[in-house]
Amino acid sequence: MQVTNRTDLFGRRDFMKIGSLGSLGLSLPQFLRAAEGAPKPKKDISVILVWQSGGCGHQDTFDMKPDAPKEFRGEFNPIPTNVPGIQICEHLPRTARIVDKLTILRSMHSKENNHERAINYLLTGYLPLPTIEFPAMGSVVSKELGPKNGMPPYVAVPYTFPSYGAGYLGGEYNPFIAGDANVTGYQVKDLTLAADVDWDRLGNRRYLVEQMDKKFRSIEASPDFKALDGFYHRAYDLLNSPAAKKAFDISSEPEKLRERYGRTPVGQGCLLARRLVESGVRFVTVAKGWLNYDTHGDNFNIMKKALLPEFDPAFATLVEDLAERGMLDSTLVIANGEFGRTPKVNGDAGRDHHNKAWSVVFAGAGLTGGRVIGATDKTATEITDNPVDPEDLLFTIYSMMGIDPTHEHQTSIGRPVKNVNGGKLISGLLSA
Amino acid sequence: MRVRLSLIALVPMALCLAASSTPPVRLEVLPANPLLFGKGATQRLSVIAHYADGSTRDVSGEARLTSARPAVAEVEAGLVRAVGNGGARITAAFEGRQIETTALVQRADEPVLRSFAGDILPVLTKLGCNGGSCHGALKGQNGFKLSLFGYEPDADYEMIVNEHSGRRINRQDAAHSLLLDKPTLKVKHGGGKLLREDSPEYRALLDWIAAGAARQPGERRMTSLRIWPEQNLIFGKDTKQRLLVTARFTDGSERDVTALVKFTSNDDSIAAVSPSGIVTAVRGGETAVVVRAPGLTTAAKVGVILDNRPVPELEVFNFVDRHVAAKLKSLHIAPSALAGDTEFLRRASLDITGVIPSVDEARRFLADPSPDKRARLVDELLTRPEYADYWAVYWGDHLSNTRQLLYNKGPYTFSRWLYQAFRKNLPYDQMVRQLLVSSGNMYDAPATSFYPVMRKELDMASMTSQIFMGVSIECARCHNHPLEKWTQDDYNGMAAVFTQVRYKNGTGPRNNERTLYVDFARQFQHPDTKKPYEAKALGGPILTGEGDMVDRRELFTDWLTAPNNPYFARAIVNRMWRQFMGRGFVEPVDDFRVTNPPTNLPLLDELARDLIDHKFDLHHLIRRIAASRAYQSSSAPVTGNREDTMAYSRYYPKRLSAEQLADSISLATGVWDGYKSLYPGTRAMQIPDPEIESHFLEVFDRPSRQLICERKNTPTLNQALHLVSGGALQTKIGSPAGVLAKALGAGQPAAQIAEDLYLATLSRFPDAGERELARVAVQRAGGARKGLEDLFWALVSSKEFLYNH
Repeated sequence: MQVTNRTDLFGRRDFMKIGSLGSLGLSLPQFLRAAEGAPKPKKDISVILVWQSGGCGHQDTFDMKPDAPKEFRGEFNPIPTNVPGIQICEHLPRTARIVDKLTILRSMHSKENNHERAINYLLTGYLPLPTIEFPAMGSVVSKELGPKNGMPPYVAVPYTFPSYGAGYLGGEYNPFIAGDANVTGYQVKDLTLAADVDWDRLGNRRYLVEQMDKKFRSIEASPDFKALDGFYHRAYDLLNSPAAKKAFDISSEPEKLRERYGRTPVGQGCLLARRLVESGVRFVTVAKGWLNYDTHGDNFNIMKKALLPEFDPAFATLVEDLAERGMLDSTLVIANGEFGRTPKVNGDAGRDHHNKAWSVVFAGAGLTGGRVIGATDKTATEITDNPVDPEDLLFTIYSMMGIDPTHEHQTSIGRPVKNVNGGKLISGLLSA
Repeated sequence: MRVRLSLIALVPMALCLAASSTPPVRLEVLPANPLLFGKGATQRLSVIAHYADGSTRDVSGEARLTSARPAVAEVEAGLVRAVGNGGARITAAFEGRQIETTALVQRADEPVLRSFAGDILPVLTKLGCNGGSCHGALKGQNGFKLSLFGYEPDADYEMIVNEHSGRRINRQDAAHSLLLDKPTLKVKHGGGKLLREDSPEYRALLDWIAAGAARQPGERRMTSLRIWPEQNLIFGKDTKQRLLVTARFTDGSERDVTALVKFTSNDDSIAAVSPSGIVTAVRGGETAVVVRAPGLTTAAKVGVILDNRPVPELEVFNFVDRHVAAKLKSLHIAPSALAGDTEFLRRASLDITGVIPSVDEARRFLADPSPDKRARLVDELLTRPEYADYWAVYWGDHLSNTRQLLYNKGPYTFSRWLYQAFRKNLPYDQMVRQLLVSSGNMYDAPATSFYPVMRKELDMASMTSQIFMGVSIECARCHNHPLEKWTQDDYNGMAAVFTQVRYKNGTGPRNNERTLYVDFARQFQHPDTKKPYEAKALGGPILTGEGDMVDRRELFTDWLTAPNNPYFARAIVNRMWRQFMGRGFVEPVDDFRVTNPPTNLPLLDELARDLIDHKFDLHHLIRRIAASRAYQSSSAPVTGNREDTMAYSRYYPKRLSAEQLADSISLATGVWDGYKSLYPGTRAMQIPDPEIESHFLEVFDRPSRQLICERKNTPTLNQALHLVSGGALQTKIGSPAGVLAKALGAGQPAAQIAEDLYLATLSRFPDAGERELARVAVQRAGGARKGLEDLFWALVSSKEFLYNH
């Protein structure tokens, strides 16, 4: 008995942990330190999440099954990529040329098959409850790491959507809304002074409001007043910050590069995301909109005419551009949605919701490219290797950013809530 | 305590200040008449000194204790120890005062046996081993799972002693048990070091293991806890007071369990508590200290008084003020002055109709000399359509009125239904009944929207109790509620109320039109365990009716809305009080529990009774609150209430909600927003569905309504940026159709326009300094238009505008 107890210092569970963490290049002492919190990365890692709202068909993109019967494999054909042995969809020709920089995870799965709930789950790491609002990843990142270079830590491109918010962490950690970078003459909302208002005039206004606030008899009455003053200060600074202005000034990008990304909301959104990360933003979501990938009918036309022609150049150029600028090692790019789509094509030439298996694509942050991890069966229905659930995904992303996934926050009723509801590092993702 | 309070006013000031140097008027010893069971059992005694000025002090450390019969009970270092059966008179003496109490010793022939549930499990609870973030988590921690805070002793004993081949216990060498090695960090422990080897907790665990880690069938466990004193007032910053806790056990015995329980303070910025139960006063106010033992919790109120001098009393306008005044008096908190007319006008308009008054209304009200104009204003506000819009939004927030849950058309019909309910002042109990027992086509019977798509009976159980009973039972979905009596069975009993709710979908183009019908035969089976449950109202009876056409929701509603229901009226009173006063009696508003006591229970109860007596007429409740002096207090603090956040000594400022702000800015500027797919001129407060896009409303935290929670309305960077950069604001202020352009166009002088801008935004006239400021604004800008625009912008960005105060 005594012997058993003593050896628990390195019990079976711990060895398994070391096994997976060893791939991070940590020595044993480092691991032991890391076990106290999360592994500390050498540099700040920023995240760009290209969000495929609605659920992207994995068998039509990164997990093709050309040998499956027609009613499963659909209308698209696979093409070779710049990595021998890995094939992806013919409608992703640009992406096919950068697969050496990608890790394709083919074994994502979740417990939710309803959009709103599944999106909530994938973005928060918690199954939704009606009574507690869990924070999205970007909000957790904001809370844990704070702003860098005076930039807002979490930016939503183009807009914030349900489940993007800070939940019980409080409105302070909500995303900063960038707007649609593809509109002509794009300017971020609220970061540009109104026409007719210059800095002198703003100075006058600031003077007036400060005089008024000084006079307000109830000024001591709420602790919020101090917080508001702090935000006012930051707002003036941000408005006055050439760096912030520059970050959102997408028009200063060369025409050629803008074309390469694609003159689409996702294309210009990805370009804007790169500029934001360059300026100090830690977490950017880029989405086309809300539930665009929900192709219950006419899946193949919508995919090949609208969704993939927008996604392909945007995503591929983003990865190339980051690599060319030497930023790829410090940026984690992820393409994902809330679930996959049913392997069997339905009567409307569409595919329905499928949460038992789908694909997630990663690039950057020092990950080894040119790999496929996880696998599904002959029809892309069931996972056959390395199942990864949303908790694992968030656990891994937080760990890579140097955030302890097990760190706890208190809700308003004092319930302790961890950054992720359990989870573990995605097996094999961090290995060489 | 009542007696003491009445003394305060009579005592001259000099005596109050000298309190600690004069001897006490009487002593109190706690627990009164202590019971000791078993040889060697001990009970700590507290001695409290009461002074002439009404203050008290814990003098346990200085008082002398003596026993008249040491052969029965001996006294040493503040402890009474059982020696033999019988009674012993114990005397406490301090500064010339004495008090006696009798210690009763029973079963002194042998010591009471330690039990796992009564002595060992509490140690794990106290150390935090079975907390929700450690081994008490649903999945446990690293393979070691305990019930949350120890509510399941049987399972915990199995897990500790027998699970994993008993590897956690080493009976041969107790000191080398994993159960001890982990928390002492002799081996790696994710939870860190929690236990010292020289602590009594370590000793207790060690002795128990060494004695065989046994568990007797039917061994004793605690059945109730009692805190001494139950009501505490602590005088002076950093003053300390010891809390004692006694437990009653299943075998009828009692015992001092102070060392075995876990203490936490609900607000340690008011009073902090140490692991051994010593409370320290931090800042003036009142909170509760919660005590936890396996499966049991209770709480003691703790009031902190930093300055013992008497404070002015709150005037009494109606019964509300009697209770508020009593609380203020007991905590020595001064009330703020009566709010001026301009403050009252703006406040009542925002709180009742969700929008500030217009310039004309402000002028009219301020000029009205009649003494009853405040009451008449409230009456008039209640008749406005804006009242119904405003409260339809409040209930839309809480009843998930969004297309995400009700399809595209649902929010329109439901919001119209809510509007009508408030427009005709449908009594609250009837409104709730119509929601709860609704059936039919969702568009023809909009009340069926209470049952949104995708919410199953388990969701409806927690939503219903949360919204209409103020009770959060969500915890009990997965485990028994750690801080309340609610069990998973209670939760499932509530779920069974809603199992008969079924839907039929429409067909063809109307396939989104659900029809709710009642499947009378349907019974509830837990989706995971498949165990069947009878419908049972939370904290109420089993709901069964005669015949086979019983809608269990009706039985539940009968119970819920009955005049003697202990939850229903209190829950709505608490919600409404929070909307008006900025802080609910219970916060969060839907978290009534013993360990979260209301800030003013007698007031909550009298308002609830008053509402029941007036047939759940919400207009009556609003009039009652708005007529009180407490509601009409200024928000400006005075000496003696700066720190108060719970006693309602002043009006607590609230940021205008997103819709309040949008509509108030529109009204002030004369430029209304357009919302996509809604009629032009639709106000923000009339938007049925949060999915209707508005950058402004998003920035100011309009909720998505997919969850039930109160709006936070805290400031954010996005809000500050939105106001400062001013795009949208500038458009309205500078609009050619706006009030400013019109006034300038009519050739009004700048000083006159400035006055109107103050009335339009702050509902008051500018004073001389502010008229001067307006002049400066024009001068600095080099022109009337620009200068007045700047002034307008500054007014709308000022705290006086952004907050309801």
